[in-house]
Amino acid sequence: MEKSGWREKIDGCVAAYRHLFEMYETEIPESGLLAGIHQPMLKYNFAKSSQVWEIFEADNMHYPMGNACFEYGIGGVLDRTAQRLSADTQESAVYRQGIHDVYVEVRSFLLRHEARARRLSEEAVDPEDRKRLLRIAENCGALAKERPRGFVQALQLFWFLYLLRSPFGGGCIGRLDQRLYPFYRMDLENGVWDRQEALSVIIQFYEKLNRMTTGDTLRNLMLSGQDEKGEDQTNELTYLFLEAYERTQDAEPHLNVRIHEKTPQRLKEICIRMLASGKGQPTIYFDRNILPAMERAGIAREDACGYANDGCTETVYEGKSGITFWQHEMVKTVELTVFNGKENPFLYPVSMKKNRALAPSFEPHTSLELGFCSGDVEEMQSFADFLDAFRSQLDFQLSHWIRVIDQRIEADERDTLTSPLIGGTFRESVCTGRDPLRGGGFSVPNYQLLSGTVSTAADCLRAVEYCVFEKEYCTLTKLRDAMAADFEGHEILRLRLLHAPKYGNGDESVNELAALISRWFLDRVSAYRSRSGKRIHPGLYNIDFKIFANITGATPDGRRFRDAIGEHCSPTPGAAVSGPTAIVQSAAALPMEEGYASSVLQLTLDGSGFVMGADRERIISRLMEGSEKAGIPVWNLAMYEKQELLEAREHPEKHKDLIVRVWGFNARFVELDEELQDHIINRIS
Amino acid sequence: MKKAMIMEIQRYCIHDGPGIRTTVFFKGCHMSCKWCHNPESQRPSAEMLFYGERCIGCMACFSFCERAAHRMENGVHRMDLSLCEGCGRMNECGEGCPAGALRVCGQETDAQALLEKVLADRDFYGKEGGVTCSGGEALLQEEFLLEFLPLCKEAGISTCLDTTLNVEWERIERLLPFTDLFLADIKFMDPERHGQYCGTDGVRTVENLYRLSDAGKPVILRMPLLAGINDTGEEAQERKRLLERLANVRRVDCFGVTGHGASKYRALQREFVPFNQGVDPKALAEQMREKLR
Repeated sequence: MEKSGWREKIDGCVAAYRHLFEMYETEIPESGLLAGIHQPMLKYNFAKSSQVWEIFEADNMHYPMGNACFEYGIGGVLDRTAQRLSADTQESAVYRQGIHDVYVEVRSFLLRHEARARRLSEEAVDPEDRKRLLRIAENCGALAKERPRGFVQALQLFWFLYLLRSPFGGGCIGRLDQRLYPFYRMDLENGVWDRQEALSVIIQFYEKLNRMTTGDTLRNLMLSGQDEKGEDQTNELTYLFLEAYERTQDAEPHLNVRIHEKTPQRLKEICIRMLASGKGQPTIYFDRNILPAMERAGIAREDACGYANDGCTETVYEGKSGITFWQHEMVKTVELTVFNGKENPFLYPVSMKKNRALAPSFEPHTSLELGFCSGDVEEMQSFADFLDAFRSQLDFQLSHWIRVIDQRIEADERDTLTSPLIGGTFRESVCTGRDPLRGGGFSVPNYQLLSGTVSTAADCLRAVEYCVFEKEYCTLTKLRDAMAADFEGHEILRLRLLHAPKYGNGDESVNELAALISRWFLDRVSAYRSRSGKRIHPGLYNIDFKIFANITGATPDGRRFRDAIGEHCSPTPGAAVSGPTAIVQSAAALPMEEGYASSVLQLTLDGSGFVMGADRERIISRLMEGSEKAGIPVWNLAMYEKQELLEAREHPEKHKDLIVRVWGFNARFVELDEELQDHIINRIS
Repeated sequence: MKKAMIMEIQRYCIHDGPGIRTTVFFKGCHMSCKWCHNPESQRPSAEMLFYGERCIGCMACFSFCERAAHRMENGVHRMDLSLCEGCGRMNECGEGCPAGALRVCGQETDAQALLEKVLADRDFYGKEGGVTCSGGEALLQEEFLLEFLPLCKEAGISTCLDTTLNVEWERIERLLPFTDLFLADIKFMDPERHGQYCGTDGVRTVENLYRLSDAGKPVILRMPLLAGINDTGEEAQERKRLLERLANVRRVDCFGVTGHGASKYRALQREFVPFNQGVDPKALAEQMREKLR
């Protein structure tokens, strides 16, 4: 690999950071101790906006930063990267230099906050205010040199690095209660721990997050967990982070809690109390349904126990991995099976928004490979024939994905650049100058393939089995033609398909099909090894169910083009009519535990139903217990009153505080685009 | 094994007793309360419902029917449901309707099959949740319950009977050892009004409430309220007196009757009598709660 090419990439990245850091304001708050904020880059006019993409290519912001700055301090990172070492290769020498260059800018950023705070303190009239501003100045100055002293400095350091990482104002937060724990202990041992103050600073942190931007921000805060000996890692900070959220109640950050055998009852009770308010916070991760599969996949127990979630619900290994993921389209695979490798001819390009109402529109396209002939439906004699065709189409697509991922794995082993800002947070990278991808800290490879929606796909397969081969309402050819017409003029058939058994009602025939296709997916993906022995981690999940709905034509389950597809392992909206326990029963039939990259069950309850003695918290608690027992790895429960959601559509200004769960994140309902609002309203079962 | 005539088995019921429950709705009731919002529960045998608003006019049922129960009038599908009575092809007929406009209410099942359905949610019941037998009047099929409830208890499932209590005490007594909780309505304390609106005088209900109290069985009382009809001062006073004398009442839930069920009446081709029109059901409930304090 060309030395100059590598150097150019790094220099470009460093220059981009330098440019951005200069544009960020130097914010000293009028109250409180947490300095720093910036407006998301959307509000900037970038002459060189391609620079932002250089950063994004080197850092997808979906994983927590490492811990080196907390161990060494900014000064320590600079010291360790100032000199070329005799052991350096050309690559590591250049990368080390890149880290150094970026952290010089980081230090400047901190120092200018110190300078401004000091100036303001001199101008301050109120002596309390002067003290406060001086303290901010001291914090910033100290952090520019040494490792943090105490909790407030540690959170301030985290915050500065977080701000500097992302021009978008978002990014994965990670296990902050664990990362900052040593600094809490420091304060405790020095007799200076001030709980009230710590709580205020955390609240200020949350408020700044919400002020910057809300919604699809990747801001996952993972709390609690267990160490490799199985000892519980809940600590005082875990409770503080939760308490701060109960005060602020907004969309950010997205809270996640790990639950295991030794989780304190107090923590569980807080989670249930929070879930009872309906916002879908926190998301629950059941360790016992996640860790075993990770270990079976060859991830060391110690690493597995350090897992957090990324920008969404995918698992990352804090301090040990980044993440790259791809999404297969399981429902589209059904379409390709019916049309023998072609798309449904009814499809036309659709302009849509990803989730925010105030966001640019785009025209999505499928990522699947067209043209693989899995068989002409006119020649299929039985459901087994159809299922075989589906399997071969699925196999073909998975082979394609595996090739794509394999290429990426090799590129990463060759010369993909990880942002030097990130490199500077990984101890190995700082000490050896190696890119995290190549010995600099990403010791656990984290390449993931997500399945797309198995639930809706299972509905489709079952509808074919039931309507074509059991009840003989139509032939496969007729079905294909009806789908090609988007069911226009085929209303009777469409109704029959809609009434075929659907996932989410505890029906074994559909559950078995969903389990079968999940099994095929998981087995195929877990069988892969790269030349260097790396695996692909599978998940029964999708992020882009809205996009998929807009690129998948009418399907055998009675869905028309653009009708909703289910998310993750949840039923197609409207399909589940037997309540949440039946949904869990359907999900329990899937091998979700083996989809440890991300397998999620999203439950949405009717909030208006908790009357006449129905004990909200008790019921949530039972649903949670039953779901853990059923093997669900990742669990989210949201509750809405349909009436309120509809009113919020009419009068958004009156419902700004209505928070809903979207996919992997929470958002203000009124900020979402209409399609997504509809999807969420239809989730209520 | 005995068979029961069941209307529906509903999972995740949170208003039919504490916790998460599976409620089994038994078909057949000896009363006929004018506000009943499950009118299809009253007759003991299987019956056909026709939801005309769902019909798409495909006429698949016309060719299937052997009793000429269907006709088209000005492009609208009309049915004579009385012709469906006793028809042995109802289930097939209902399944054959693509739009779900023809629905059969009432299927037979045995205790073992029912138990399996109830066990599906056992991981969600905890101590407080379980099975509730409701309907209709489940106690009209008490021979079946004598088989079914002990099976539930053996399986560690908590049992609840949602009943009018308007049956012979002997029927209730036999089930006491297998029933953890009772749900009962107070519709009218005044026997004449009770007869006028429900078809029986309701005296047995009150007598049985006292007996349950003596037996120490926990009861949750529900009060369906109809403005101007059973929320009068006298009713409230009588109820208050009753409550003072009962030792076993866990909770009293007041609620204003709402207009749910109108579509079912239409589907049964029966007259729907609206109650509480223009009345805020929550306010109604709050007022009665006040009077009972």
